[in-house]
Amino acid sequence: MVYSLPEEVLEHVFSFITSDKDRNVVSVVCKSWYEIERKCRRKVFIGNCYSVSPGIMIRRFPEVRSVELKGKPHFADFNLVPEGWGGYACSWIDKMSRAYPWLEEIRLKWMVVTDESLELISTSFKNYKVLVLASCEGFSTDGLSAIAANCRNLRELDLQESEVMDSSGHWLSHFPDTFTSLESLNISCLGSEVSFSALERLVARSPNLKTLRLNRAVPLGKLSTLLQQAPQLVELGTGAYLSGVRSDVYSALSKAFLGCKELKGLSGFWDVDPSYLPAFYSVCSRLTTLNLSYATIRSPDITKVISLCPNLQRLLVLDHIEDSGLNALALSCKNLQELRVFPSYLYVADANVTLTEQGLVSVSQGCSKLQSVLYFCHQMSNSALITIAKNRPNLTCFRLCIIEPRTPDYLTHEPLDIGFGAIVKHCKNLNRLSLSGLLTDRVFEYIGTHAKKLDMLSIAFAGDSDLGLHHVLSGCEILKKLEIRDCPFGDTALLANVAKLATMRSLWMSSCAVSIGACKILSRKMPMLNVEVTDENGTLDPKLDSCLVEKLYVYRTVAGPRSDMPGYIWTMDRDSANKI
Amino acid sequence: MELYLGLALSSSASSCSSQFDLNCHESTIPVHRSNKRKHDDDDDDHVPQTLPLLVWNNFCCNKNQLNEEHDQDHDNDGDNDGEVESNSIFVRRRNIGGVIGWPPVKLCRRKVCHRKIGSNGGGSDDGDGGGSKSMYVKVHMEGIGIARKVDLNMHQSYQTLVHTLANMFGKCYGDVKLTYQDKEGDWLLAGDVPWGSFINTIQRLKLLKK
Repeated sequence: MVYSLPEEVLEHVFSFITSDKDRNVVSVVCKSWYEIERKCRRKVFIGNCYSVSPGIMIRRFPEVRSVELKGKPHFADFNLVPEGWGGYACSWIDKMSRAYPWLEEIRLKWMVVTDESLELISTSFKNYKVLVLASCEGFSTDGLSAIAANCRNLRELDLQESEVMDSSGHWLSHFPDTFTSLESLNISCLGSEVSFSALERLVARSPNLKTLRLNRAVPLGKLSTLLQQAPQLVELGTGAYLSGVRSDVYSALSKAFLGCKELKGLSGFWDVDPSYLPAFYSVCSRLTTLNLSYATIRSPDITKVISLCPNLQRLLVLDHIEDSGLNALALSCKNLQELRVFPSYLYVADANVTLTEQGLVSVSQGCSKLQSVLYFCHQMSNSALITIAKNRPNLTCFRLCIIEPRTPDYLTHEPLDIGFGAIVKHCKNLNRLSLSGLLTDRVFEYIGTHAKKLDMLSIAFAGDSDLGLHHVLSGCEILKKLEIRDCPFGDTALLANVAKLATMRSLWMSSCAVSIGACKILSRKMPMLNVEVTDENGTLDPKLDSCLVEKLYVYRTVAGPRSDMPGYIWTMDRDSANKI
Repeated sequence: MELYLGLALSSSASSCSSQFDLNCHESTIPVHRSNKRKHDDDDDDHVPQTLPLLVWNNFCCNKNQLNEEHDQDHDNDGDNDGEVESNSIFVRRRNIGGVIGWPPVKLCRRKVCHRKIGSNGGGSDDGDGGGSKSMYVKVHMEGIGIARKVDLNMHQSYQTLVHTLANMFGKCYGDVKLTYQDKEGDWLLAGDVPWGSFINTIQRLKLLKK
């Protein structure tokens, strides 16, 4: 006897399942569940926009309200992905504008978006609410004007770290006077000024505004005006944090911050004048997130701020915090979950900045809830790494960047293999790892053996041979994203693990030792992968199999080779290299 | 991200040996894992005094070279003397101040680092070796009144530059050709001279329709 719940009941049950992963699992239970699930899925996340086509997405999921796409590989952040590579949002937005009249949210990362697309978004969707463009480019303030003018129910406009061409500063004025639904606005990446009066009026008529991130050009003197209009803010990003010698600015600011009883997160702080820091002390006790990573303040100012924030969960800061500041952090902020320490000098250690591995060790000791670390420093030791690993087995994300490539343990001059080995051995839930320093194949053996929950791995200037890569590909069972630069990894490891690549989202290898011949073999064996090879110099001869490839990007796809590649990218297709 | 510089190595047909003579030369410097350069390390002798101009040429890297010593000490310092980091396999491309894309810091943060260094006044002078010193040049598009500006330091090849410029003016890469005015005031077709020479002589750019 076959018993099954009616479709409406199942649909109702599924409506409580919101996570993508769970939805995916539900959809493969049986055919009828697949059909029911796909018709009621509201949110789609596509980690690589080339893994599937808009048409396929639309055919499978007809009732989507929210789409999130990522385009370029992560290394685009560091200038390794050349101009014209791709990641165009155009065809997606085009097709969605016709297929999803009720689409409410679009989130794009590392994609190229044009003003035309923004205009299309603004006019195509009847109830459009959320636009997030993270690390995107290709559009100007004209596109933003269209969004402002036409999206009557917009809730969120977030331009996180995008590159916006400046056509005019008056796009903000295009929000009509009747527009009052704004909840979140992030314009911190904008280089030029926005019309301050338009901004002020906008803030004043947005009672639900919770997040406001200003750009550097908004002067400190104007900040208090805005805060007075929006005391309900939960997240604030300041503009430049300095002013001339004007005590009225300070007192107005101080008073305004006093009124912000809901404020939990602060960021911005470009060009900080330390004498203005005490103006926000009144909110410190409630702060859970503090981003001082653009603030060049030092001890004692920074230590003072930290000591006032006992509820801090997330701290982003420059290495000016030094070991002493991190010691203070370890003492004051027992709820800290995430720490990111960025370098103030990119190449050489600043003799005036004493940030060493000790700072991180202190924090690992004092902050028992620490889960996520991003740490730039100039020296590291195996013993420090082992201590950190033993202190914090609950780490889920560990990204260490020792600035000079191939730096060994500064105490023993050994490679840092056993240090990172300890990290993967003790931190059993580690899902993201970035390596640096002097590393041999041994560290990859440790990673392959222990890092069973690893989802993303970043490797640079490490390893001795293909064995290193082989350990990772054969050992890390759920690895999805692997990005490698300047490592002696090549054909052997790649071809020994071709099946693995179909279980991953993508593999990036630049300045390694992979040959064109191997790329062809890989492509032949694995037709569900796109194997893309970059030849910026125009010197690659696809007939010369021993030719080494400068950049290789391999990803699984159901959409076939892409058709929007620039002239210097070749896709390997069976026996020949196809250049489109 | 190639280097087009005065040496004849830029020809793709050049023999392996001439290029790897340079590499071999460097690899004869003893491997000192322990000699990681720190600012308190006064032993500078092992730092290879390489030619500052080397070409990354995939063609010539044959597999045998890959098994040579990898752990050669190298220098990846941002100092302005333009030393090139290298080991027997990976001839590093020279970028002003260091390796491209390293350390892995986003552009928006790099801008802050350098601005800060400038404003520190008496701070150390290696700051501008960061590779993100801008070199803005005016670009006109034939038929379009308003000029734009492009930061040439964001590019290391003609291809990426033309792509960027084409995008800027809403044109297709294949429909434009790039010309530039050099120091002598002459207008030339871009692409004939090595990138480095181009950078040194360029005054302004003009995109023409094909």
